[in-house]
Amino acid sequence: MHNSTIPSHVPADLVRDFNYVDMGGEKDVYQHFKKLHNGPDIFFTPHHGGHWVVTRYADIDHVLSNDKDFSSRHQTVPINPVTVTLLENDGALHDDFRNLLQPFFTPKSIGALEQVATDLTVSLIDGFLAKGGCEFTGDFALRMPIIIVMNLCELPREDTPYLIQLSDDIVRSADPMVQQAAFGKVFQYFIEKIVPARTANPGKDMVSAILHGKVDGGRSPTAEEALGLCALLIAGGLDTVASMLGFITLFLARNPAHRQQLIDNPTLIPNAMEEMMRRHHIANIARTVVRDMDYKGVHFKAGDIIMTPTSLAGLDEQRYPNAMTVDFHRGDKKHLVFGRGPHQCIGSFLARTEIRVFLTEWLKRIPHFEVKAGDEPVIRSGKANRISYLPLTWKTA
Amino acid sequence: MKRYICLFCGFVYDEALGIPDAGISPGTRWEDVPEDWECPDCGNPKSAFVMEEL
Repeated sequence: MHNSTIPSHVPADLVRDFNYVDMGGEKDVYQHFKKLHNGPDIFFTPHHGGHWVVTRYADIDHVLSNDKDFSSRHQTVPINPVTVTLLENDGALHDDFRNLLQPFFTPKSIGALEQVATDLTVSLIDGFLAKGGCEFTGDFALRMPIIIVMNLCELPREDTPYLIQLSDDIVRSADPMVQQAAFGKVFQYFIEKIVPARTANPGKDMVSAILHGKVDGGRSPTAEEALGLCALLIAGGLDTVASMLGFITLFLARNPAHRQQLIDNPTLIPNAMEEMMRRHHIANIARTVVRDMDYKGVHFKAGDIIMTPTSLAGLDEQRYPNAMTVDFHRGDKKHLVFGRGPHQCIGSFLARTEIRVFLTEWLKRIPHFEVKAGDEPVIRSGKANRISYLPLTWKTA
Repeated sequence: MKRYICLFCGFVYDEALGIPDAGISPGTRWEDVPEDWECPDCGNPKSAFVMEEL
């Protein structure tokens, strides 16, 4: 057991030795989390500075929806050293930042990007189709979302290889120092190149909207806040979408019968996408208790961190009968993949568009594929579950 | 008759069609849809919808 002090208000029978990032040799991140359903619905772990974990869909939904009792001041485990703009703001300031970005994420705005996503998807697939195989994360999953974000921000096309490399470090490295360095370079990229250009010549892109927008009663975002939002655009829509693409693709690679359903009936893709996402929630986020309170017989103190691992929400048999089974005809399409409440993912519709386009175009061109024989995907738990390596093969004509 | 779209999942509420299975008759204006109604696809409330622009 991790040797840190258990707070005095935590009863001993609710303490568990669970480190969410240490899969302990388990290769399936969802099995890693699922075993928690054998224990109490709410427990405390001393890892990462000590935090609660709620394990049931209903409680995860409640905590995420209830920003009056559960603040986003700290929404990761471990907590971030610096406040992350938007994600870690509450109330009116959060709403102000969100309103700067919202116009770019409406279905109408994203609809205009769908052809871009389609053309990009086809282009990427055509780049490796004849090879009979690819490393899906590096060859596809990392590239599509970053290029879409670059499009939204109108970032220079010649910077694509550089940003893809940074994305690779952010998503694939197991070393937090490498990830941190990559984030630092993202900040530097915006500070040195993009912010000066958009400050001098504002356009209709998202970066200009951030730099020239008003928040908090009429002030401009601080330099730190603006950079935080720019970095969030890169990070927020990147590893999460890349990971979801990876988990969906891995599932289809291993489940030819499910794949055949989509090949026979492509109109099933939207429902199938929701169900595959449901089975593979990505984000393991957290909230901060606002005031001393009791919840379902458990006493929380102000400042306690509560992890709301959405990984578990999708696997909860109390919510989804046969939760571990993917059923494209499951009637209940609702899930917490994009969160819930005021911080529900602003990029939900964009992510859904990207994934739907991917499934449609991939299955037209590569209907039958599998994990490369003799090789294995690399899957990690984290703030976002991720597949950092996914080798696929298929027969060529 | 107008259409309203969910910002999160893209579900479209068409006033002309209503949602008869949910007890919302065709022709029911958006403002008359019950305030506790949720998006049937993603479960978000009415506040998550915007009028769809053509």
